[in-house]
Amino acid sequence: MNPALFLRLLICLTVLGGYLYWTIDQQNEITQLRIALPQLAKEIDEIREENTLLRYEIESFENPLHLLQLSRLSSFSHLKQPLSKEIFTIREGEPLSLPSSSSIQEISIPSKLSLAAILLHVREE
Amino acid sequence: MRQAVGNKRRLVLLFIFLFSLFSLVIFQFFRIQILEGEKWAKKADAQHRLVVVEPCKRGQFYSNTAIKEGHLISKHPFVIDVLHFHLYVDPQLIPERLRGPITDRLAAFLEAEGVQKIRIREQLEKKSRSRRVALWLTKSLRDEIYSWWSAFARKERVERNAVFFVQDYRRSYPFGSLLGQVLHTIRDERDPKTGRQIAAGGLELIFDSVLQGKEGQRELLRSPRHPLDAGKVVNEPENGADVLLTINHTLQAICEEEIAKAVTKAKAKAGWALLMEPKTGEIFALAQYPAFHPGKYRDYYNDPHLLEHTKVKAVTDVFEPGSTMKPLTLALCLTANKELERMGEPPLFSPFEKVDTHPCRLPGRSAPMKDLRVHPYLNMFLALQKSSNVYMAKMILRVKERMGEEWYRRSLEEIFGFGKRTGVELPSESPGLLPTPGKKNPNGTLEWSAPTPYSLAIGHNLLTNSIQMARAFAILANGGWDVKPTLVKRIVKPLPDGSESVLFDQRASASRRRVLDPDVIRQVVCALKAVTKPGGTSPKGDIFGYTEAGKSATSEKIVAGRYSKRDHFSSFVGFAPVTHPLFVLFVGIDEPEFAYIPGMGKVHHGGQCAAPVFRAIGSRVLHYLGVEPDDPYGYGTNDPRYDPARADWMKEVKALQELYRKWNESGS
Repeated sequence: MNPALFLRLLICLTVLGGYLYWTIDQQNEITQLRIALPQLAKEIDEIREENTLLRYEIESFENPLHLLQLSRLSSFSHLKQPLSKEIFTIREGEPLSLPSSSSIQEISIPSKLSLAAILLHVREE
Repeated sequence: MRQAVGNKRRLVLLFIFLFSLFSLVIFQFFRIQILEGEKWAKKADAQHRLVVVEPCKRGQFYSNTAIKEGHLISKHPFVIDVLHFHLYVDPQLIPERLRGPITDRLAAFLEAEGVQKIRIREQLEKKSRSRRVALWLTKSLRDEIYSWWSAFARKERVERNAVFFVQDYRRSYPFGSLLGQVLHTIRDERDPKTGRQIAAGGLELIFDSVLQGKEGQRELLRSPRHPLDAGKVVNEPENGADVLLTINHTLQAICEEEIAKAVTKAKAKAGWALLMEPKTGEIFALAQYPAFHPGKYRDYYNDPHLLEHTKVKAVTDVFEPGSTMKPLTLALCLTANKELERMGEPPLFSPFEKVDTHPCRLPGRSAPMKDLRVHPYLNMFLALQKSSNVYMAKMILRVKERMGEEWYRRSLEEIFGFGKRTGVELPSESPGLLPTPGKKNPNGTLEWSAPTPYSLAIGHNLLTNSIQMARAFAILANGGWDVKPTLVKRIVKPLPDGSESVLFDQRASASRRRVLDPDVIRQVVCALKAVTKPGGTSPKGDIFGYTEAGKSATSEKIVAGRYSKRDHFSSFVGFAPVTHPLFVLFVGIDEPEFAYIPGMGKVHHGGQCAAPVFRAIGSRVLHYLGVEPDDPYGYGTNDPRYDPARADWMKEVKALQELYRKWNESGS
């Protein structure tokens, strides 16, 4: 047999063998991931459900009726509801500016309308 | 030689025979796998795999946390779908000898005794592959049962799938009974035909179509050793849309606390409070006592006494509004003035006109019209402050003579919406009753007769629900604009990529129509402000530190077709602060104890049992919203901050007192 041909054949077979091994190895890895995937999905679902349950428990604790009861305890008597003017909100990443006017038109009712009229009427009487 | 030929022939025949058999096998393979492949594959799948429903999450209801300036906007759900488990058994896989021990153990886990334990045993005796033993088990209980069963099944050599769990989402209420009647619930049992959840009432029923998601499908492998909770999802479930309510959970809690206190104190049958934003119609709170816990709906449905507490009485129950109708009557009279002015005619009346309010007879009315206490002469401001029936009836007599009954009725219907549903997103809303000329009552009498306008003027002969009254006062509070009460801000559908698709936005659907002249509103509101001040019928409705306008009412309930002297519906409707109203509040106390306490008066009157609730809720709501007091000297007389010279509306009230004395106590 021609040794050069034999060498070339050997190299080809080695490369082919290596490539086949690599392909099969990749396939095995994919198969392993495929096998693990449903289990991981299940675990994620379980964590998600745990989160929901935790959220339910936190919200149950933060039941406003419960918080209102707590607010009446002497240990929380130092707390008070702040007035709107006492709250200053700084938005992250935004330059300080006046808040934009509400899109809903304010409708005001002047309260002193009939004062003059009533007083005038009393005087007339 | 002949034998060799014979052998060869036999061999050929054998070969042909074997070849034919092989061909037959090949043909069968071809027929089964190619020609009928699909059919047999389906059959095999049906034997080895089964598809079960993959539950989806029903949409949630969220609180409106965007009502307070500077307040952290966070999502607070009123209801959360929490994963629970139903316990099932496969009686055919359980041998007779093990049914007793399994029953005992399951009963111990489920804390079932007596009849409940017998029921578990009955399920194990059924000839079925799937019998439900228990509903809505928590994950921890499910894990306990599962761990016992795995060991037991291994030890007794029973197939593991003889006991199994089916998962489902249960409506769970983190705030308990808060907003119970409005939210309502869904039934434990699903529709047997469609497998869909069945809404029992409230918002769950109204928004059922958007809350319902789309269930997915999970494929399971049918194998005794294969746990049923594995398998793969072949169709992803689609969760339902979320409803962002206008209700704020803290304001709701404040209202529920106060209404519960008031109902208990008044020894009443029930009570409710409705807090509404007057410009947008957004309902911030809708509280009712006794409460309804949606998670325990079976307890309420199985008890006829509790059943009525499952409905939202603010929309289902109607009543005669009584004196809360009087400011609306005045608004219509002033509107008539405006119309006459436009037509170039003299007005009906002047708000400052001195009107004779002695008890009087009116055309078509057999009994004289009178007030609880005789006030000989009143003007519009005094009439509302003293809640005069005679004044209102006399004004409506003028409306009837100048504008006609039809104008009066049409105005009640078109401006205030009486006799029509408000369209709030709750089931079974009663439209109430606004009498119609020519139409007959069930007892054969005419709905509208000659004295009807006078009765309507003082809130009799018509039926309204609480939301209609709150809406009517919202028109007074917002400067005369029509408003539609609503419980929904937005409906959004969460998408798989984390974004949201907006299905409904209340802001986009809002339309505005002015129904009352601002000048009319100003005069009525000024008159209303005197009601909660000294000399008025409801000083207990004065919110200290803030300006308010409101009116109380006490109406006799109709029992067995007659007005009852002992059963009343007491209410108070008002708004605050008057300059920039932030809320309209309706308080209704159903059947307060009929009693007279010396020094206090008739405690079943609206001014005694409903007005204090208005003050309590109003004060707490304004503090919660961080509203700066707009009447910093308007406190109780014992409060050091009180200054009658500087308190809001005190000068006007003093002027009215002076006028009243002049007209009624000096022999004028």
